[in-house]
Amino acid sequence: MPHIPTLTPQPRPIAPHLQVYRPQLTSVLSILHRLTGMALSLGSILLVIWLGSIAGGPHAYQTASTWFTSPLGITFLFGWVFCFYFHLANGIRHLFWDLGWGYELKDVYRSGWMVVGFSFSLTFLTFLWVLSIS
Amino acid sequence: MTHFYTSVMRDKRTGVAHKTVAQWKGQRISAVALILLGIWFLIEILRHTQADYLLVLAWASQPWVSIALALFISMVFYHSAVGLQIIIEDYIPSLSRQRIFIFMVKTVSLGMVLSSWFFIIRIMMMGNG
Repeated sequence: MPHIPTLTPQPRPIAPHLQVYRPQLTSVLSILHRLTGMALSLGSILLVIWLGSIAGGPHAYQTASTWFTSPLGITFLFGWVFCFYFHLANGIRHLFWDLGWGYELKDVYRSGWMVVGFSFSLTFLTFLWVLSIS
Repeated sequence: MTHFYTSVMRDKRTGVAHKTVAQWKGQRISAVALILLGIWFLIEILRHTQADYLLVLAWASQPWVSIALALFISMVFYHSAVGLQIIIEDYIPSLSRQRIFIFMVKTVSLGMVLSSWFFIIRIMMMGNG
């Protein structure tokens, strides 16, 4: 029987799912890159609301400011600040990999811990800075 | 005659391979732009945490600030839409559901970009009018 090439779509490759991995610094940071990206995507909607409140006039801006500076608002804002620093630092790490740098296992771990150190310390410094001027 | 298809050839046949490459580049170009724009925006926000409305309006309505804000927000939503699309493609097995979610992400992102442009233009007119 002759072989007839089929045009029916075959199942597309999918990513390995999270539960098959034993947590390691490399996998945890990779997952966190996606999670912080998702959190920042949500947070960016707030950015548009904030711009809208400036365009809406003093009263609208006051209302938005009251939300943002409430205890819940500040907690969320600092959560996003951490996500920003992490995604920034780990994103730069990814860009270096795209250039072909830092693939040795030793370097992967070193840059990974640098990302962790950077994002926690800058979040802390940002918190101190806001505290010092308010 | 027997045909052999590699996975890349199969992907090219379905017409998505060239789009994926463009997306990969776009994701990295927007990433580099967001390093600068993101740090700029965070510094500006932190500088204005104690500012009142008129000060914020005066800051945001400057021409260069308006352009930077529009660029920043456009890059944010482009980068976010590409990133979310990749996550959806990796973790939602059903192709039809993938399409629905990706369409939703793109629609919301476009809506956010267009409304932010509208707000920025309004802020410019309020600050300079």
